[in-house]
Amino acid sequence: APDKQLRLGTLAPKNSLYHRQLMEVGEAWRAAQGGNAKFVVYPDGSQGGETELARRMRIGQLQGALLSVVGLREIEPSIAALQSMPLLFKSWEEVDYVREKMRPAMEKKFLDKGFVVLAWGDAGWVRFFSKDPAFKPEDYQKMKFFAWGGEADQQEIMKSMGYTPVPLETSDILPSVQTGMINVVPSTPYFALASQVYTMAPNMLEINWAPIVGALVITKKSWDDMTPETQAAVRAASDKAGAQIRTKARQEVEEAVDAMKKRGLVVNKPNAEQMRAWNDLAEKLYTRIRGTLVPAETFDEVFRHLKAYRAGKTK
Amino acid sequence: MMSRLLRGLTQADAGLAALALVLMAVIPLVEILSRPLMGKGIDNAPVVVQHLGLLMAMSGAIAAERFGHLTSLGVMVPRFYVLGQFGAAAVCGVLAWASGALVFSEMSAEQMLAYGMPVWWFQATMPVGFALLGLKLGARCSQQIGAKFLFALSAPVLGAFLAYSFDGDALPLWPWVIGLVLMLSFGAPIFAVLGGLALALFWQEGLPLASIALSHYQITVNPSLPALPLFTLAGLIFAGTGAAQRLGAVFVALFGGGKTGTVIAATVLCSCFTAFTGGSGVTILALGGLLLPLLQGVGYPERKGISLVTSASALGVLLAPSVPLIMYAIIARVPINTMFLAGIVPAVVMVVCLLIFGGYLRNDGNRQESTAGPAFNMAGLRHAAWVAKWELLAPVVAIGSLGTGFATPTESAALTAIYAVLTQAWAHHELDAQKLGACLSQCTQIIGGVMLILGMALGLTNYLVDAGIPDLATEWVQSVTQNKWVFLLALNVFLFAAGALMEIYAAIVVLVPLLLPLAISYGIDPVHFGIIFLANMEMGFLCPPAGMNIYFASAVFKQPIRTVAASVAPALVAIFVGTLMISWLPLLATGLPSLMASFMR
Ligand code: NA
Ligand code: NA
Repeated sequence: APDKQLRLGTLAPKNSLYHRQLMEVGEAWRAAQGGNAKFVVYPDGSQGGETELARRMRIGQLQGALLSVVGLREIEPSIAALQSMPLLFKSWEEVDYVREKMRPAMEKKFLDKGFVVLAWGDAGWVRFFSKDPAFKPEDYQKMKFFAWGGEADQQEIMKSMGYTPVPLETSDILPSVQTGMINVVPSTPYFALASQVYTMAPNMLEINWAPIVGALVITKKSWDDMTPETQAAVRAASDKAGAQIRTKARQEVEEAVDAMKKRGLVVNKPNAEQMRAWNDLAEKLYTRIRGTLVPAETFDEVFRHLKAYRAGKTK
Repeated sequence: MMSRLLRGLTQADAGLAALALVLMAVIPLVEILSRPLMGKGIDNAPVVVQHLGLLMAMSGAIAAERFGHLTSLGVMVPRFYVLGQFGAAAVCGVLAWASGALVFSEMSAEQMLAYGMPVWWFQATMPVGFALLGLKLGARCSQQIGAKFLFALSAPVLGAFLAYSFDGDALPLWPWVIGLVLMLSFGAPIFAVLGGLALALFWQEGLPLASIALSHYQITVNPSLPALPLFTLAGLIFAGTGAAQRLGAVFVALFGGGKTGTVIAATVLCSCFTAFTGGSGVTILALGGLLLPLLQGVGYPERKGISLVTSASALGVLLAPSVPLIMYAIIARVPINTMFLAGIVPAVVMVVCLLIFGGYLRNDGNRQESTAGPAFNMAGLRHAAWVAKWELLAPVVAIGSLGTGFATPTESAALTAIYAVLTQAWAHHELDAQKLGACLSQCTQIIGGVMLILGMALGLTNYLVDAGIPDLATEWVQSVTQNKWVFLLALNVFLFAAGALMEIYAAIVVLVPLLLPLAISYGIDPVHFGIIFLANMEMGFLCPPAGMNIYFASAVFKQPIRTVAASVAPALVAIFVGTLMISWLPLLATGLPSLMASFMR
């Protein structure tokens, strides 16, 4: 067996942008480590779903993983803040600004839980894909939403607002839309394209509901095992990978929408009045989210940073 | 008093398992009912049901051990039976330690399940369960009370001590493998041998042993998994009442009562029943005593009748909602509904192939027995169908609730189980509390045993993935042939051998992740591959050494295993022909799902 191993897992497909970036980080580690060190990247969720990846890191079978919020939340629940607040961010610049501000504190929280964050990335905006066209919040009240099985709090809030969440697994999405078990799938355009959801739910509401964020994390134990030189090399490679993932992923969102439009996707853009209704809904949601889905202090912090950013921009 | 308390305690496993199963059926029903009311329902219901599944499977497995229902390949060397049990008990000790390590790691990052219960409370059933299994297997090493205690404690403690001392170190593989092969031949349970192998493989790389415990946890709490025990429960309830008889009457009336009609009716009935009982051999238990006299009554030879019932009972695997079909959907990550649709035509093809190529319709020898029975009688059919209306509606409840979007797979299974209970208890008055209890207990034991094998097999699979074996296998086979048809033929031969050697669930869990990427590289659709895979596994039910149907038939019909095995040889040929047809004509499997998809769009 090799003396040192670095084993990274991800749900991203083999040879995808994400997979290739992980390979580069691994290669940088191997080169710095020298000897017969060996790194392996497990793509396609071959080591299990995101919660499973978090668990396999904790028991020491994997050293790192590229996770979306679904998995990151298993490590540190407050990470959900950035994408649990609907319609909060108007642009990627706002997301980047707030994330940079919160990054040191967030990374400290991960460190306390035994994980080092190497890079932050994102995977596009959540939008609503539905069977029938819909523009305003009440259009969706007669529909049934896909919801992640594990997200009990979120379903509670949806129910209380008159919406119907149907908790399912990712693999059940497509047939469930087919049979009418659900009629709305909140999803990023990239996922809607890859999973073919848009073929069954060909109406996309063009609002930036929430950004999907992700991160490359490794266990503190494996980080501490590295020499300072190796750590520096891995940091440098991860910074590069993070930047690549962020720019490319945003490009992919546009490309995915274009590709789906060519194959029959209808993009529904809310008018000013409908947009106001959405913002009203978001306002109502914030009071329910604060202190439940998102810890109160994290919630307030996000708002503070966003206010500061917008004030700085208008100046 | 004291002894009654003690006996109650030792039987607590079955009670706990049954209680968990009842909750697994009731909670999804509450969710269905509360959905339109937009009421609160039950917090985090799907995940709670999944974790009840863990509790049910673990306690069911312990009960299965108590009744001697854990699957083994039989005792080939009786003199060393004790060594096999001792080894299995030691493996359980290692597993208890490994799952204990998992629980500790979870406690360090506590997640809430619902109502203030952390997830690790349920995970703790694993170390406790494996420890108890170790104790019980150890106790089997002797008849004498003192020695029983000694073995019960020493074997699992030895395993746990090994794990404690060497977890994380790289140990050599071969001594373990030799030990495990010996254990298998001495009659150790299959799960212990599979688990031991997974442990040895992780150990040789110095990887954490908790990985195997995590794989076991992962498969047991899979969101689609609760459908397994619930559909099985429905099948067992129908098997335990007069449902089989009523259905048999319908099919006999449908196909005409003569020899030909009865043969077709028996075959179709066996297949439909297996769709619910999941090829666990329960079909033969439920129908064997009913169908053999029926066949003999129309002048069918006994041996041929045994052969027909035994082989037809393997066919339902492709028919919804069979458990292997669900299992494949889970492992290959394809939608369950799609697999259900894909299996229908191939299942019919298999039945037709069995009847024609198996020679079951041929009239050999006794020509004086006329094949022409009483003419088809509409009134008779209508009467039989009316009497069996509740049973005939069961597939409608199961597949209808799923197909119309009324229920998720788990909810549909819960609905079917409760439907079975209510119709048999209230409409037919054939199910009392005692009988229901027996069905619950039998179901938890079957699923408990299956889950142990599945969990350990998934640990093994996780090692194969970890070592990059699927990629290597794909590269190697691609270098041998690029021809899809040749590959399909080779695949069938390989799977036939695998089906004969492996338990069906272990085969699905280990071989699907290994072979699916390979099949995809030859342009084979995952749904089509699943049907090919399961069709081959049907042959495995009829082939020694792991052909469960032969053992069940031998027990039910009181015939030597060798006689039964020889009698099903024509059926094997027929099923192989059917399998080849299904392999080479992908449209048989993929046609119906794509037709439905374009229809629903
Ligand atoms: Na989930
Ligand atoms: Na088999």
